[in-house]
Formats: sequence, C-alpha cells, structure tokens
Amino acid sequence: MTNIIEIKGLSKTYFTKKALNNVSLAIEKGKVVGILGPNGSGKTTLIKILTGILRPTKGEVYIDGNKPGVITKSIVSYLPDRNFLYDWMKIQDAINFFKDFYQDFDENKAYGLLEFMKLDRDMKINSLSKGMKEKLNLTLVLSRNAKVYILDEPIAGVDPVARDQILDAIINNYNEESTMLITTHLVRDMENIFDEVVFLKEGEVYLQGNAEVLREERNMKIDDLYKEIFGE
Amino acid sequence: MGKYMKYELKGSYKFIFGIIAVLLIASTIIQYNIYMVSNRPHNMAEATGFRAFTMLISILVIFGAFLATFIHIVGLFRKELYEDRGYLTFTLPLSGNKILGAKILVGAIWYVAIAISAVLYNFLLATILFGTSWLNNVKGFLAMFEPGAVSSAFISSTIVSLESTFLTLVIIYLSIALSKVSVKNKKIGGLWFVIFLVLSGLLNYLTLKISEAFPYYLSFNNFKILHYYDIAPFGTIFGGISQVTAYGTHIMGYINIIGNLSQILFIVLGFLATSYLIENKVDL
Repeated sequence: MTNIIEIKGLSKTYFTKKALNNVSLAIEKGKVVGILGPNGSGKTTLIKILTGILRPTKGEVYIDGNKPGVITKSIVSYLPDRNFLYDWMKIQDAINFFKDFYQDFDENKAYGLLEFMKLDRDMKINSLSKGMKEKLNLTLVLSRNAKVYILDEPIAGVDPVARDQILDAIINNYNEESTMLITTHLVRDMENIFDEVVFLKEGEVYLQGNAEVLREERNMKIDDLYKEIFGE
Repeated sequence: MGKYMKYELKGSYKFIFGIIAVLLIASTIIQYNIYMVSNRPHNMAEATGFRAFTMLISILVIFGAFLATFIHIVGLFRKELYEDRGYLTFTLPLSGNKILGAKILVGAIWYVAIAISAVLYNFLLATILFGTSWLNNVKGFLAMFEPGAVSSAFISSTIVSLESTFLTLVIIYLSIALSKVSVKNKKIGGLWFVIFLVLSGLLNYLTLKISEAFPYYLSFNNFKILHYYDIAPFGTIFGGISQVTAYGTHIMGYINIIGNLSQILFIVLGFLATSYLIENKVDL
C-alpha cells in the first residue's frame, strides 16, 4: 500500500505552548482514519497543517508527494469545525462556488445529498441552524471526488437525528479509492467506520493502529480504550 | 482569479449599491438646495435655516459614505484573516497572488464605480435642474486654454490617482497581513493601522526624495522630457511625482518619471510581499 499522507517530526508551538510535538505518521491510501483525543490534544492543529492554513514550527508534511499548498488543496476536501461559507450565500451559490473552484466537484451528487439532508437550495446560509449548516458543509465536502477527505469534528454539537444523517452520508459516500481523516472526541458514535485510529495526547501520538486489531488485543471497544487513555 | 472576483463582487454589490444610493440622494439634496437658493438670490432665508442644515447633513453623509466604503474594502481582506470565512478562501486551490489580485481589483472597481456614478448622476441632475447652460459655461471656460492643455493635466492627475489608489490598497492589505503575522497571529486591534501609517509615511518620503534626486518630468502636452528647472524656473513650485502648472491660460501636466516608476515598483513589491505572507506565513 502507498502512503497518501506522510508526516515526519511535526511540531507546532504557540508562544510557549506545544500544540504538536514531534508527530510522525504515515497514512495509507484508501483508509478511514480516526484522529482521537480530547479538546486541546492537537487534533485540529494537525488537520490545519495538513490543509495548508497553519504552518508547522518544525517537521515535514507530504500529501500525495507534495507539501501543503495550491496542488494539495485541489485534492484535499476539508470540513472545518466551523461554518466556513460566506454568509451572503444561498445554498445554490455555495454549490456554484464549489463547482467553479474544484474540478472534482460532482454537482449531481451534491443535489442528491441535499435532498437526503432535507435542505432546500434556495435557503440562505445565515438563516440555517447549526445542524443544518453542518449538513450543508458536509454535503459540499463529500460531493467532491477528492483523493483525501479531512473532516474536523463532523458530528460535534448537532442533535442525534442530524448526527445519524451525517454518519449515514459519510458511510454512503465514502469512496474506497480515497482516504478519510476524521477527528472526533465522540468516539462511540464513530468508531465503527474507522479502519485505523490515532490517539493524540498532549500533542503527541500516544497510540496508533488498526481499529480491529486494537479491539482484539485490548479486548475492548475503541471508545473504552479512549476512556482508559484519557480518563486518567 | 476571474472566478474569485465574481464571488467577491457578488458578495459586496448590495452594500456598494446602497452606498451609491445614499450618495445620489445626498447629491440630489445638495443640488436641489443650490437650485432653490440660486432661483431666489435675494431671499436670505432660503440660504440659511433648514435648507443650510440639510445641505450640511448631506455633505457629512457623502463623507460618511466614502468612509464606510473604505472600511468595507479594508474588511474584504481583514475578514479573511480574522473570521471563519478564511477557512474557505485559503483552502481554495488558488495562489496568494490570485486571491490578493482579486481583492485589490474588486476594491478598485468599487471605488471607480462609485466615483463614475456620482459624477454622471450630478451632471445629469445639473442638466435637469439648470438646463444645458452650465455645460456651455464649462465649455467656454475650457476653450480659454490651449488645445490639449486640459487633457494633459487630466492624464497626469489620472495616472497619479490610479497609482495612489492601488498603492493605498496594497499598503492596507500588507499592513493587515503584517499585523497578523507579527504577533504570532494574535489579533491586536488597530495594529494594522499603525503599520499602515508608518509604511505610507515612509513610502511617500522615499518617493519624494527619489523625485528630487531625479528631477526629470514627462510632459503630456508634447510628450517631451523636461528638467525640473524647465518647468519651474524660479523654483517656486513643489516637486513630487506629478505637477500641473498654470501660467495664465497656459496649463501643462507632467509626471516625474523615476518617481512614478518607483511608485509602481512599491505597488509590485507590496503586492508580492502580501501574497507571500498570506501563502506562507499567516496562520488561521
């Protein structure tokens, strides 16, 4: 298997606080990888470096052989942990926007997902609830046929119904040729979709491995393992 | 870049159209009041009281509208660095050059659109209120000068105004980017403005010194290169990057060649520096 993402000795420091400390990871093509850890463990920092909106203090990152930049941005589909769409837009504007900028954007898939999420394309973005915005953002991100999907806390802060819809959308639209990185601290809801898991603790990789193997070795669910690691 | 400009224009046109509407209403009030006063020159009450008050308010509104436009154009870039929308803009497969180029061009387009709308509307309104006689008066005044004299003054001031608009926008965006990266990406209110004042002062001083060191001017009357002493033999006229001199009905428009080239160089360097910062240094 070839590695689509390679991270070598990555560190990020904010003033005196180390958000990431000497992280090295290799992520294979075609895997769904859970980046797990509590708030402040460095998950979002890692994701932001991969998407090219944060600069590492030390270390190297390669996505499909390229450093984060214009090329990697064209193959990475990123769902941030906030509403990133321009507030003047209607849903249709957002679809047009993605169609204009991403060659891998599938408009028909987007309309199908909108219907699944029960969103109307004439709705204004600033009138949507938090759950609806999350569903719209995910619709746009999953409608790209990208090599790498990076989803930062996709189910945080949404109601259980929206949470199920979002999980269904991720499972149904995942393409085996692609790689998906998902950060979350809501492990119980998501653990079944992970092939691999990486536990981040205080900016360092505490444990990583195949989800199934870890379950068998430790004789516990990933969620219980998470509680064991971070519940100390 | 064109696609990004399309969305920038789409995102800000409602605000700009609102500003244009405010400007036109204020212009109408001013011109209407002038019309009423000029029709009754002996009635002092027409020129004072409520009419004077509405004119003053309208002038303040126009000033406020230009200030609001300036703040809006600054916000077009500032919001990208300090608000969540940056997560969309800076993850697009676009280089810093393209994002910045689109922002600057859209800012310039809106300034020009506002200026043209205000000028055309006021011409039209003046024609409606005062008839075409004012136009004849202007034509008569311009006819007093040598052929080509007025256009040479117009060309030199247009070139310098355009350079100044682009340089101001570039320095604003560079200052915002510098303030974002200079304190480890922490937001310090107003820091960008301090950087902007320092940079503007420094570049204006440099331009002046360069223009003084190379005092050769291009005349738009006859496209000849002239030394400063040919233009102002008595040394009474201020140097700088452009001049419009008038001796009676003799008008000439010049630009300082090296001074203007240095302004263009500052625009390019400022643009490249800002683009480098947003592509390689800014952390969201």
